[in-house]
Amino acid sequence: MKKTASWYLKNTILYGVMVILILACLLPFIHVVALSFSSNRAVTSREVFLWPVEWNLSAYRQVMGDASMVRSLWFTILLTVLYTVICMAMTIMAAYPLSKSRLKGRRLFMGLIIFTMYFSGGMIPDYLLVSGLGLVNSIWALILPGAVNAFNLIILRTYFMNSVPGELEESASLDGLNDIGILIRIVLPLSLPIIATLSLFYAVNRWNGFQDAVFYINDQAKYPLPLKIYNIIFNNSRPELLMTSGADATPVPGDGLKGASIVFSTLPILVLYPWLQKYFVSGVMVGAVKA
Amino acid sequence: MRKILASLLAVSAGLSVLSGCSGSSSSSGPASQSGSAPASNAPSDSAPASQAENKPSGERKTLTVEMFDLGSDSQQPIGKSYWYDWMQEQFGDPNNIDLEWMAIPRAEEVTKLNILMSSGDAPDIIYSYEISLVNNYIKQGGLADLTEAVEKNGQHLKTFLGEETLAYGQFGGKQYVIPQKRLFNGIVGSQIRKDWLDQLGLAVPTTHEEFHSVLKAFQEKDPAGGGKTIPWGMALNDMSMGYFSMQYAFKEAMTEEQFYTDNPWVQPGYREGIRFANTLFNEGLISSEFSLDKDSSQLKAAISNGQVGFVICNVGDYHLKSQGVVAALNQNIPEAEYVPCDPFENYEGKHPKLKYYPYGHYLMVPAASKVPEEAVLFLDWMCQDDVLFTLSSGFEGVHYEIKDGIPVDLDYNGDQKLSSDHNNDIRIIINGRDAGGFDASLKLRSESASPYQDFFIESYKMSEVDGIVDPWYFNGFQEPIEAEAKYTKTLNDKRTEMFVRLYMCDPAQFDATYDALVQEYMEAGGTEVMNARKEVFQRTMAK
Repeated sequence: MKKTASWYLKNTILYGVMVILILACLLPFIHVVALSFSSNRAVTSREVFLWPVEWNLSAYRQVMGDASMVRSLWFTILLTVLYTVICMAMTIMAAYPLSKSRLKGRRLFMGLIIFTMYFSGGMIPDYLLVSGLGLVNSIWALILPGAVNAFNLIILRTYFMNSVPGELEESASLDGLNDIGILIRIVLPLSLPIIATLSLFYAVNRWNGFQDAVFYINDQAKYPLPLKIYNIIFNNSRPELLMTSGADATPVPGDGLKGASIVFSTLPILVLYPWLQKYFVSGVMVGAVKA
Repeated sequence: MRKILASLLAVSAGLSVLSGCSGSSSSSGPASQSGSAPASNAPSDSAPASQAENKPSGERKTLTVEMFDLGSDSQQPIGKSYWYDWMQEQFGDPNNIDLEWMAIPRAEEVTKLNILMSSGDAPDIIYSYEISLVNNYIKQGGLADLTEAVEKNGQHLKTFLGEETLAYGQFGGKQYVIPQKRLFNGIVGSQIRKDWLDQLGLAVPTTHEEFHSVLKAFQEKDPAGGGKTIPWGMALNDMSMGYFSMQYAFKEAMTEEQFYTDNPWVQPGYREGIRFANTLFNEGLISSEFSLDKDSSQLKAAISNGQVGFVICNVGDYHLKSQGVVAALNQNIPEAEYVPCDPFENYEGKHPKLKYYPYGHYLMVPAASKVPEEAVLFLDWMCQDDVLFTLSSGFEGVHYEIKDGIPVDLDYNGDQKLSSDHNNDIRIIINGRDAGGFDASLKLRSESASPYQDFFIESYKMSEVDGIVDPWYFNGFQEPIEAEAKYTKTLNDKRTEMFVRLYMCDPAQFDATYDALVQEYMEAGGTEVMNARKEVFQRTMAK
């Protein structure tokens, strides 16, 4: 292809915009990492930008030495794995039948599911429900209320409808597979990219989520990591809280410690990304259907 | 993270609307239960007596107590560390009570309490610093009337708090609240760079005219060098903007009724205080970007880099070891030194500034609680001298040794470690660590600012001079004012916006802007609040 001036111009703009976007996401994180490795003096004096000043590991020593932090980490890993597995099972089992036009009442069910995207009971009714079910202070309070995400369900259903050829399922059924067999042996293997993507959605959502835990969990041993970190960063650090607490105000943690806590909680999910990335490839279907 | 926060904010805003559905059906319960109980005559000087009197009898009860989850790494696990066991042993077992604890994140206390209260799951002892919350609960019948429980089980409490402080917990004649005792009532600490004053041959300013010329001298002589001097370092919070000290100095004489019922914006002289700040800002004497510095991080950086001449904060804040701002400054510039300085003198030659009521948070018992008397008994037990001293300092020889009359920490790090800052999360009946007597307590508190103890003590003493309790900042009346519950949040946000705009506007436009903003403020609920306060004032306080 001949590279004209306008081609260069377009690409320069395109790349420029992308670089800006990437930096906008990346720089704050690098800044936090740099803070977490710097001395208190350098952090307070704002000398740290992208590279640690007066390198030290005391913030990490403090975070790792905090038994409750490590315990929260394990709890959050357990929570996230359980949540993702349960969510995916629920979502798949709902989305597959709903993708079939022979299911009676399909529109009604879809309508009910979509309804929940627009209306919800509100925070207090939600709490009353969870409390009434006896789930308060249990890991299930953080799993069951969010076990199906209507948005993810719709994405998966659309994928089943559009990307898995009916002919494949037909031939499988001719070979004697029932609906469950078709789902497990034919449809799911063909849907790995979307399953990986939705699993990641669920997992990241659960990993970062804490506002339900604020209300449903009273036992510190069952704090997810983000709630723990939210407490470290925000409790007593607002001026009005400091002021009302007066002589009993709790020391505000330094930015270095905040940074170390944030890195500590983000690392596991960062490690997960590249590993899942291999599933984000298209082309699984190539050659599956012979013309 | 930001997304989560944003949605959290949205949710909590929604909650304030929803929280109206709190259960008032059970409000008549506890008050009438405690009906005919005879008042005990336990003399307040015999400490363990009240425990002995309440011999275990009948079925074992459970008392659940709220505990702030402070999120600090020094806080011990709530309900699962030594001092909780100690309280069970010392108070629970002798009284046939099982103590349980519920962790509530400090930054989410209001939201979580609202949910717990509306679902009836709240602990038996709850507390909050938010008067609007207290007002709401009282209005909706959510709190137990503790009048008789205090009469029966609260003999130590009465002595410990005193009639006057206890009266702050009475609303409409009923003891809905037990106020937490506050040991230190001073709030506002302002300081100035002594080394700069010496360098320029100036004295510590004591009036605002002197203050103005000192700031100007800082600006002209630029002691920080390179044009980096910030004569008055400011950030976007009420304290550093002078709301609690400078503004009071410009107010003129007023009647008690004006003081209670005229909104500060229309109190005589208030405009001049804001105008003074406007003048300073437009002369470039105040941090130019203070309105963007929400978390004070720019201000702290400027202080630690030796750029800031004068600054206002919570007493001694920047000198605290935990903040490390002045420590960082001295690492950067060893000879830099701040001294306490209070230049805001009013028409009487006084230096008025905000101080606290003699109480901290409001301790309450929900109407749904089955054990209001035991709740009072627990607080009554905790406030006894020996109990409180042990809770605040630990055991002699293990946690502390007495030196110069104050308990000095030993380096103890075992299982019986005190939680947070000397159990400040656990001893919910007192704010501040009591070392037996005020001077000893202050001396003890100043240790948190080591090596700047002397500065801290001096700054604290200055913070108490001419202190006034502002009925507009704190709770003004002993009864809930509906308009306040409704508008306070909106009006406070509006106030901050007004401050920023009035500090920064063109001096020529100042009066017009002031009038326009005050009108907006009044229309946004300010008038309703003022009228409601006038009504209550005339009914209850006017003589």
